[in-house]
Amino acid sequence: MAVRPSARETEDAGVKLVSALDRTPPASLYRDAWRRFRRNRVALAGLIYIAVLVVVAVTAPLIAPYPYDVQDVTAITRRPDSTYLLGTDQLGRDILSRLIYGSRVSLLVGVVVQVVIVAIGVPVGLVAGYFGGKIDTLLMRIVDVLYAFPNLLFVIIIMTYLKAQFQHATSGLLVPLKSIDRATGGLLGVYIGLGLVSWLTVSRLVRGQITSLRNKEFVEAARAIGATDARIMTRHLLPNTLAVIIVATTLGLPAAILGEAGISFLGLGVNVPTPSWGSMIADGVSQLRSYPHILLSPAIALSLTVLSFNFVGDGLRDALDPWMKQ
Amino acid sequence: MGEETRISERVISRRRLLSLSVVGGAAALLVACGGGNETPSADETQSAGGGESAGSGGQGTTPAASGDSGDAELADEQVFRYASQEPEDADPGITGSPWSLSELFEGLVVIDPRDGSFIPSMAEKYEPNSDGSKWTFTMRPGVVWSDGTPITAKDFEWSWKRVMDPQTASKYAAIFYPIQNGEEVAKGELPPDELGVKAIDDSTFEVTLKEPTPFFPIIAATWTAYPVPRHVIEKVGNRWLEPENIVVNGPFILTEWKHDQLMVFEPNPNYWGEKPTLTRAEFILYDDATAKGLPAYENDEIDHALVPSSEYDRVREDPVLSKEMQGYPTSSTEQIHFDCSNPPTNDIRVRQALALGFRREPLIKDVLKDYYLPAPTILPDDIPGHNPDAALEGDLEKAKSLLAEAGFPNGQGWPEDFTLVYRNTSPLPLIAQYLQQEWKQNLGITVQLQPMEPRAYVEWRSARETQPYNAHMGIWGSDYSDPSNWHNQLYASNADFYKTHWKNDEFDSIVAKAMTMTDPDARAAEYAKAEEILIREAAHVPIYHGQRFFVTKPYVKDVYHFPTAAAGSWLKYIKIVK
Repeated sequence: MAVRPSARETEDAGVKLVSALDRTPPASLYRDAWRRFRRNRVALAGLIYIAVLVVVAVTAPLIAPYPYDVQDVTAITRRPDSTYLLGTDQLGRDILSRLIYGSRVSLLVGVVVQVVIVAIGVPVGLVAGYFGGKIDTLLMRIVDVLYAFPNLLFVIIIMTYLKAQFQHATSGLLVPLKSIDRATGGLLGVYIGLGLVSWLTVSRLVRGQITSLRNKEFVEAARAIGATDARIMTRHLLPNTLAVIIVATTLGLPAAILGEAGISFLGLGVNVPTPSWGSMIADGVSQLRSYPHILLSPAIALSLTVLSFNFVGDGLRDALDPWMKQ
Repeated sequence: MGEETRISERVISRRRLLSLSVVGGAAALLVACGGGNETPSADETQSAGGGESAGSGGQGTTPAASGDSGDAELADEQVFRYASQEPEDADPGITGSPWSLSELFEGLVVIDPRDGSFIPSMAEKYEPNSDGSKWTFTMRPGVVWSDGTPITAKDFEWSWKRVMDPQTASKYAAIFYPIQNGEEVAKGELPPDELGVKAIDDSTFEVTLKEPTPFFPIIAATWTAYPVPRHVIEKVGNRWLEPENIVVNGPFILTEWKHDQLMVFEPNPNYWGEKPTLTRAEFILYDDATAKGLPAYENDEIDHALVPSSEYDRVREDPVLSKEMQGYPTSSTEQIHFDCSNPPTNDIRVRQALALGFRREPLIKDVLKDYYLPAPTILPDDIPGHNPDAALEGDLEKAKSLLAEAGFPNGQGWPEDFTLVYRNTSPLPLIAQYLQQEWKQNLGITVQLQPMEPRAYVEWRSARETQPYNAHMGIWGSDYSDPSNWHNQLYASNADFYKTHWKNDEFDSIVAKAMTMTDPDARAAEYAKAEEILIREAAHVPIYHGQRFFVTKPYVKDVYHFPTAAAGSWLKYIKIVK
């Protein structure tokens, strides 16, 4: 006579059978998204490029063949050859090494500015979206006004003001800020400026997402069991907007990188001789007809970087789609 | 920039983005490598306008112009197109850089750009008194302004007093210091009416000098001494130079001036002298004529262009352009100036260490590719008193030991924010970076670089009268071929043009004495001695002597560029041939 399986055992067997037939591992939010992302060839290529770039930036002193500021006056404007793989600029500095160190500047700008954006934009969007009404109107109108600001101009104003302040700084808060500015190659103003003009989009996106989520049942349920507003915002709503935030910051990175490149191109950004792709492009412009290689390397690097972030951002948005469309 | 932040809201299909970027990238590569005309875009100060007057003129000692016209037949259209830039200050009595003023105005005397000789212009004749302390100019009868108003000695009296009036804030008032009470009036100690100039009557102009000044006619030929139309200025004030108001007495008049865009000169019908051959000269204004001129020339948009140092190589090797290129020394010197009242540069050993701490030959030969001439000392070689033996002696080792002696061994303790200020125009950014690296490598010190727009630099420098700094780079081009234009006007402590606060009593007394010496050889010897002190004290360190190259279209003839800025009109002699 066979032993009758218990209810539990039957259940287990059923699950095992279904899983065996299914042959896919149990789904989870992010693993699913990753799978969809992986299938996107272009986005994957972008991700690989970025990963390589990060490695290059981090290990710059190890992999750069020469220091970025050493001038070899016997090798002025040399075209790419075996000693200088990407050639040299007008002062005999190795372009490949400057490109490598320049990646640090670009990536750092991208990351820092996005951190600032998230730090300001997310709370603003969260509060506006959750409370709605007068607070929402007030915050969003402020955002509208700031949107009208010419971004580049604002950053230039901040840069100029800070540089002048740092010059005369002898005491107080300005002194440590001045050392930070020096350490970043003169870009503190760019970080602050770009961060201050770019958080607006994120705040709007977050607000939109929150507005659509706040009337869902799970929020009601949380309220019913006595959760405070703060708890609802941080523990329930925020995680559900993560997808939106991730995509926005990934797509916002290239804007920050291009912004810094533009400002350095104008000569208002990075302190010479720290290389930035933007300032390298400025160096190359005057020599474009005789020595195009000086401009090509940083221009290509910059383009590929911006493209990659865009592809990854697009890919992320597609991959996280169901969650973003909630 | 605002566009980029909206990327997430825009929808581009991946495929379209990919194909767009491939096409865009390929196009960029083709344009960059494949040749074909580039649209001009650059931004530089033409050496003719930036900084201190490295003149709107500049040609060599040889009167050979760009192409002698000889017997060539004149073209029907006599139009000349050139590249220039918006002047920093337009008013002849105020500006420190003469731009094209010599086309519009003539003073009592004019220096012929073809050979440097003196042409009596507004003055028919002039002569000194027995000891050279008074000059009397007799006005040419019948000379009028372009609006027909007669020009008299009274115009000169009024114009010169206006220059020295502190309210006018002339940047070049120092040139009239040789005139009696000149310095006192400029400093506000005496009213302008006390200036030693007087119109005895409408046709006699008398200048009383502080001391005998043998070269005074040269001063009378500079742009600061041009007459300005009192009747216009009193009516419209600062706007008197606008084309609708302007009144001139030179060979050309400004018929059009779209600021920062275009200037058009046409012959002045009331000019007293020989009419120019040109009927029209168009100056396209760029913010960086040095870099934008050559591309415009190659595009046939202009007929004559400066060859920027960055393009010099390519032009030299180009089969067509190399034949059209010619070199012209400019009697100028680019220098580094140190604040002698502010540590660490108040210590002469620091200054000398910095002067010796960079290698000169690679700078001239490799970085600047021989576009400029080496400058061991400050006075260019066409100026009496030029003294190559005065060059600072020493090498990198000496520089290191000087720096150590001054308290910064191997650069330890060197102020982190030691800043070198310079105009952001070619070739200064290159030189600044070269200096920065050389000083770091050879002396172990870190120097911050601060580039500035030329106009901003001029303002910044004026403010250094009371504000401390470390170092800046400034250039000087001779206004006339006399050492007093350098030693007395720039470096003597009562002039201190570059605000270095450098004061050396021996130098001051030598140059004050030498200025009035009548024996040319003894005078030159005194200035050579002064040069020695100047170089040794290293408050001003020479970097290079100026030279420049122009390309000229084969149908343009008789272009003269005089080395110094005080020469008369060059447009006057240009001819277009078939």
